[in-house]
Amino acid sequence: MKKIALIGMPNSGKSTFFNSISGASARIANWSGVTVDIESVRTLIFGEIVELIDLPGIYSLHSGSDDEVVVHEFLKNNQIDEIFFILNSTQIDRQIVLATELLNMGYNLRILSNMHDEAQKNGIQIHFEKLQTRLQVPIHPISAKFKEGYEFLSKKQKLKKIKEKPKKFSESEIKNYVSFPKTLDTSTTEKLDKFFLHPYLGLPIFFITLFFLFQIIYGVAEPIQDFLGGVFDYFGGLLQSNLNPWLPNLLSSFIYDGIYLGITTVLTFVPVIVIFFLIMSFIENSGYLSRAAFVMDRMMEKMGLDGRSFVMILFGFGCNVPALMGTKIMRSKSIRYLSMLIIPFSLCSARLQVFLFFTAIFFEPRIGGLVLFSMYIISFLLILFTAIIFKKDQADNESVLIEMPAYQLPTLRQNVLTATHEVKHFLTRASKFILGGVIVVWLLTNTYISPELSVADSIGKALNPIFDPIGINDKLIIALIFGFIAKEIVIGALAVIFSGNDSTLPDLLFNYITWQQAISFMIFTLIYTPCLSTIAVIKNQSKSKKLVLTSLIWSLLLAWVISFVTYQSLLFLY
Amino acid sequence: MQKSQIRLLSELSQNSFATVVEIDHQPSFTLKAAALGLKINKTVYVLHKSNNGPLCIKVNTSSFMIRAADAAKIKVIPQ
Repeated sequence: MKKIALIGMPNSGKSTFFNSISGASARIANWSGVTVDIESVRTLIFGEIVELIDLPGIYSLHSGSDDEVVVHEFLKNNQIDEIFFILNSTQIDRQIVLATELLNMGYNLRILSNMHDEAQKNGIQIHFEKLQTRLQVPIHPISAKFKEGYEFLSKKQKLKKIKEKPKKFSESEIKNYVSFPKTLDTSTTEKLDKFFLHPYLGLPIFFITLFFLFQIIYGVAEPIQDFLGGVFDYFGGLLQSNLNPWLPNLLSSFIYDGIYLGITTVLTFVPVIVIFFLIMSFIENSGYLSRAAFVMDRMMEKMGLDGRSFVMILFGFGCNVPALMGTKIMRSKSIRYLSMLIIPFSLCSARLQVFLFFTAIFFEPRIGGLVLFSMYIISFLLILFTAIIFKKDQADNESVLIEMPAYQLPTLRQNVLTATHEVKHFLTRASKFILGGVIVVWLLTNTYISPELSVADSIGKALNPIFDPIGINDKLIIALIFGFIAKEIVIGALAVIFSGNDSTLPDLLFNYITWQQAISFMIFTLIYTPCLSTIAVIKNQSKSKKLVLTSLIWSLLLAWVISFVTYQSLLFLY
Repeated sequence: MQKSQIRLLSELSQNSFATVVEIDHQPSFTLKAAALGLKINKTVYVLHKSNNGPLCIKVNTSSFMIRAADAAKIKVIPQ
C-alpha cells in the first residue's frame, strides 16, 4: 500500500488537514525507528487506498528538537512513497525553505498551500505556476479549515521525478513568486492582543477567561456525568438482580464489581473529555493558547515550565485525565514530562467529593469551608514544590520560542472532529488499563486467605504499621486501595466496608475515627497515587515507565510525609 | 555600524523597530529562530513586552514569543 507522510511546520494547519481527511478513524500504528505515537489513516487518495501518516510539526530538519528527531528517524526507517508538505500560505516565504530542504534530500514532494483563503483575504499573491516550475513539484492551494481545494485528491496523480535538485531560495528571489501587500491586515489580532497581552490587564483577563471556560466545562459536564452515573447505577442494579439467581456469587461479583464497574467508571469520564476537548480545540485553534503562554510565562519559567502548563494545571482541578491528555500540545518533552508530574496534584472533582463528604461529617459549616480551602492551598503548594524538585530532572531550561498565530474563529466541524478523536483515543487506550486494574483490585478483595480474611484485608493489616502513624486504620486503608482505581469509588468503598450496620455511613465514620484522622485521610487522598485513568494517560502520553513510577512513588511518599506531619501536629496541639 | 548603537533585543521597549546584527545563542535556537524568520539583518518589531517577562516580536509576517533571557542574546540596532 502506498504511504504518504504529512510534514509541515507547527501552525501550518497540518493536523486540521489530517483530521479533515481521517474524520475520527485515525489509528496509532507502530513504525520502525520511532517510539512515540504516530497517527495514520487508510483512505482513498488518487483513486487508491493509501496510508496517510501524520508526522509531528517541525521548523527545520537540523535543530535537533524532539519532534525533529522523530521525523528524521521515521523518514530514515520507513519507506515513504510521497510527502504532502503542508504550508501556511500566509507564511509561504519562510515555510517554503523546509520544502526545498526535503526536496534536496531526494523525497517525492507535493506542496499543499493551506490557508489559501486567508492569504487571499490578506492580499498575498502567490504565483503558483511560476513556483511549481521553479520547484518542479505540484502545488495545490487548499483550505483545510473549510475542506476546500481537495479536488486533486480524487484524481489519479503521479509525481514526476525532478530533474535537478532545486536551489535554496534567497530572500530576494522569493519575491518573484510571492507578493505581500505593504502592510498586512492584522488589525483584529493586534486589537485583541492589546487586551490579552496587556502588561497589567493580561493576567486578570487570562484568569477571568479560564474561570469562565472552567465553569462551562464542569458546569455542563458534571450534570451529564451525574446523569450517566445514575443510568449506570440503574442498569447495574438490574444486572446484579438478574445475575444473582443464576450465577455463583463469586462470578456475579466479578461481572458486576469487576467488569461492569470498571467499564462504567471509564465511561463516566466521557462527557468531561468531550466538553474539555471541544473547548481546548477552540482555544488552540483560535490562537489564544500561545497568548496564555505569554502572560503566564514569567511565573512558570521559574518552575521549568511554560505558560501552557499552567492552563493544563487549572483544567486539572476539574479532572486530571483531560488535562494530562492536553499536555500533548507542549512541544518540549521536558516541559511535557514535568507537567505530567505536577498535574495529578490538582484537586480534581472526584477528590472534592471525598472532601465534601468528610468535612460535612467532621466539621461545622463555618470551619468546613476553611478545611476545603486548605485542601486547595495544599494542592497548589504541592504543584509548586514538585515542579521545583523535579525541575532539574525533567526540564532543561530550554529556550522558548512560541509562535503567536493570528486569531481565527475555528469551525464547529474542526472542534467536533478533535473532540471525537480524543474520546476515541481515551476509550481505546485507558479502558484496557483500567479494566485490568479493576480486575486486580477485585481479585484482591475477593480472594480469601482464610474465611474471614481477603487478600485486600491482609494487605490492609500488613500495611497497618505504615499507616498507623498517620492515623489511617485497616478499613480506611482498603478504601484507599479502591481509590487507586478512581477517587470517586472511595466513598462507595467505605459504604461497602461499613455495610451491615443499622447506622448511616456518616454516623459510623464519626464514631469510628477522630477529626484528626479525618484530616489525615483527606490529605492522603489528595496526594497519594493518581487514579488508574490518570496513570493510564501518563503512560500513554509519555511512553515512559520511569515517569509513571516516579509519579506513583513520589505521590505516595509525599502523601505519607505530609499526612504524618499534619496528623502528629494535630495530636500534639489538640 | 557603530558599537555604541548596538543594544540587546531584551532592552527594546514596546512598539520599537530594530535590525538584528548578531544572534549569540545555541545552534538549536538559532536554527529555530531562522525558521521563524529571525535572522541577521532582519527587522524586528517589539509588539508587546510583559513586565520582566517575555517579549512578543514580529518578523516579516510572523509573530512569536521570546523569553527575555533569549532576547538578551540577540544584538540589534534600533531603527
